Amino acid sequence: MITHELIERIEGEAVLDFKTDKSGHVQEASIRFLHFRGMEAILEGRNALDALVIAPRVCGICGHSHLIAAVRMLENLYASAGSAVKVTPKAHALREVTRVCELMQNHIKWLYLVMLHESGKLLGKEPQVALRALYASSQINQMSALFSGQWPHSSYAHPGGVTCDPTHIEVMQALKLLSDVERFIEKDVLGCKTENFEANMDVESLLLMEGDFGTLLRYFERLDLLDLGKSHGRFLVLGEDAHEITPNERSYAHIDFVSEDDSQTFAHGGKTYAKNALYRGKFYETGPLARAISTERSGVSALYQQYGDTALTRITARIDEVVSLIAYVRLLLTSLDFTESSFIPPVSIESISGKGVGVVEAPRGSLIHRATVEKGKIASYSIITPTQWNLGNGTYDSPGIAQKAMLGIESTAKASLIFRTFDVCSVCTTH
Amino acid sequence: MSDKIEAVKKLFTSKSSRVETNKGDTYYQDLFAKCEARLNEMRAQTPANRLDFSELLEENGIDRREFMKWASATTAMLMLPPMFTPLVADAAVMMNRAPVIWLELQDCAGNSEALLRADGPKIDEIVLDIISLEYHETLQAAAGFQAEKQLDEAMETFKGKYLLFVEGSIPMGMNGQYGTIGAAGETFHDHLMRCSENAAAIVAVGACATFGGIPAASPNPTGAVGVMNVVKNKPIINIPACPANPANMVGVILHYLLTGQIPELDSLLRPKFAFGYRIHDNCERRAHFDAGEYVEEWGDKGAQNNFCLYKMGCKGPMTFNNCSIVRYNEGINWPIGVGRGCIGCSEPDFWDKYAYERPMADAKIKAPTGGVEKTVDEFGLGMLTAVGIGIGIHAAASAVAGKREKSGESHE
Ligand code: SF4
Ligand code: SF4
Repeated sequence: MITHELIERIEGEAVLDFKTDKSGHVQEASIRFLHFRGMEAILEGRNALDALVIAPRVCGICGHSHLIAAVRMLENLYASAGSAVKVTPKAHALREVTRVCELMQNHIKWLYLVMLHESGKLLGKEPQVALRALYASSQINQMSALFSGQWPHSSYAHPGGVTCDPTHIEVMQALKLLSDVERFIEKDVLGCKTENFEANMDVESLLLMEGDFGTLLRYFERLDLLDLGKSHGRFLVLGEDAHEITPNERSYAHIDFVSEDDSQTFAHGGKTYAKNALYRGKFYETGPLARAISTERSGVSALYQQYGDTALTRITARIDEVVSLIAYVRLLLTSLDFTESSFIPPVSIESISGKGVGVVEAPRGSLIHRATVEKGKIASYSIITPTQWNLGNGTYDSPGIAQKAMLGIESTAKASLIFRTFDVCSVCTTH
Repeated sequence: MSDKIEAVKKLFTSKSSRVETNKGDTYYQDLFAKCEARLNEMRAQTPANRLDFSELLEENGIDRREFMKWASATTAMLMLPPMFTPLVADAAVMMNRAPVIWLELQDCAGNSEALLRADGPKIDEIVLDIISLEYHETLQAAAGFQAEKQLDEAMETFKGKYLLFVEGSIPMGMNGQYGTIGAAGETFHDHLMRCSENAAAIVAVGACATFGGIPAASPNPTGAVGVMNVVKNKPIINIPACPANPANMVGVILHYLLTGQIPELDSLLRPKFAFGYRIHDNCERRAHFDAGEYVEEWGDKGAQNNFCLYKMGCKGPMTFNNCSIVRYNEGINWPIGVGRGCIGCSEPDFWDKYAYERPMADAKIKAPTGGVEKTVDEFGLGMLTAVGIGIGIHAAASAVAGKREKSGESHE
């Protein structure tokens, strides 16, 4: 039987087409993204610095990651043109703070607005408006806005540094917000101290956790989905700490092996605007789970050893990432050296020609910006978004990451829930 | 020439506010009576949802005093005298009698984000949760087919009464195929037309829904246009900017609830309470502008001392919006606060008209008064033409809107 499932929520709209057997089990699943804006064409012909304002608008949900990808692309361009740009540790740290703020608030929204909501519904529970979670994520955005101006769509990073020059006051404000957020994570999300969470990451303890994260896992257990959702077991991190990990091998990853495949798009008679992103010609999973394994975060890595890339591991990785990022942001903020300058001016962009590539670990995985620039003008621009990795469409024999994870699930509704463990986002995919 | 420079200085340093802040006692007494009657009417109506405002306030630990403080600030923002504060408070409590349907078309979801999670003092958030968001991907309980049904029901139940919020532009190219919605693959254009038919008014939110925004930037690959280019014969309120400021969205709903009317609009259909003055008029760096102290390069001494960003391409003097007052993310900051200029995102076609953070001189902006800008350093001429832009912007923008209207019609 063929069914179409509409997936829509904060991150735009996707359509899942399922083929099921008589008992309703999923035999095939394909993913369609039906919106398109032509962002790459809009970038072409403009001053290369315009990418810093236009790129964030690719996505209102992870636009800050696009800003950082664009600025890294420009700095890489400068370097390859022989005019390397200097960025002080302070400017770098500030960019890191705002970048990971976006990760943290995304994960919280995903937990409350998508996962608890959708899994609860399958169990017949009335969804709640998660005001406290919205408040916490708005606090994280405030933390970011202190340095970046506003969220969404900030443009404070430039090749050479950042335009802001924070003082102790902004840093104190940020630390206060961070403590508030940490309290929310401990009280509401985990139901325990972060140390206790990290020290007891076995499935029994996780299922006993009092917070909303525990509730989500228990929902998944009741739905019999906890140990399902396995995909290929191939992981990729291209931004920070670049690694490729397959069941047999772990090695450094390199951007040169990345390609895009548009065989499934409307341009070639397919059913979607989204291109597939491939590494060495294959689908790889990117995102929090890939990052946890790549950096060998102990709790998640152990879970992965035991349960593989199941819903359990994937969900836990996203929550564990929030916890680990809190510590990271605190470290960044407390070790800022205010005497360093925020910005070291590079030579004029008009004197620069060449190619640039910028890679960033965005909330949902590796984000890539590539451009060719001639005398400061963009000749071509290409964006590969995280969702293109995880939600690409493969063939029957070689399904994409999320496609594979949905195979064999007993109903389309449950398969859709597994689909959401990847944190679906259609907005930037169809740039 | 020196006369001219003086005249220019005067213009650029004067407040450009064209909003009448005081309309006289009789006017306000009259309005007050009307609002009271309207609120009594609303009180009698059944709420569109069961969320209870007072309960939510309590749950979130907000006391009456804090709430009244919010109400008086909001009253001021709406440019009403303080005597309206209790009415605004009443209106907020009755937010669940103002049905709102929210559509997301060709966009980045930035406005939903700004509205629902990124911003708003706590009370604004509650106000927004309480309004009957009858159809919004984020807050509604339903998804998929169920959601489509819910949308149809909401439109039927609140026929002629709901405010239709629209985020995102409408791709007209390729018969609208660049954006379709729902299982039946309805185009954004058809979807918008269907949903606007029985709306009381339409609120276009963000640069995309108002003027086409970034998808409409040259070469406009999908033929994107704003709502006012396709919907005719309906009151339209534009809240441009990228993203639009949530305070202004709340303001429009409150105003509607309170008065049953849409707020006073400028020639681009923007509420005057929010777009009646320039960024520049209330900018925290304004004193430096007036003193001729500019940032010349990011990271320089001027940047460290928060000097004016005009030479770094700030479009504040030509941009009508209230972000210098309201700011973003709970008023915590705004672009100029972190040392980058305003990009003019609430003005039509700003993507093509205003280059990014480079001096206006490099932006090749044709001043409406004629002439092309030279460098800012050539003070007289630079200032003069920039002023031309500043004061002529409303006229020029209306001309653009007029032109677009024509091309919009040809799409129908
Ligand atoms: S106006 Fe800006 S925030 Fe909004 S949808 Fe367009 S690009 Fe995104
Ligand atoms: S920074 Fe911009 S808005 Fe502020 S005073 Fe200078 S020119 Fe005007």
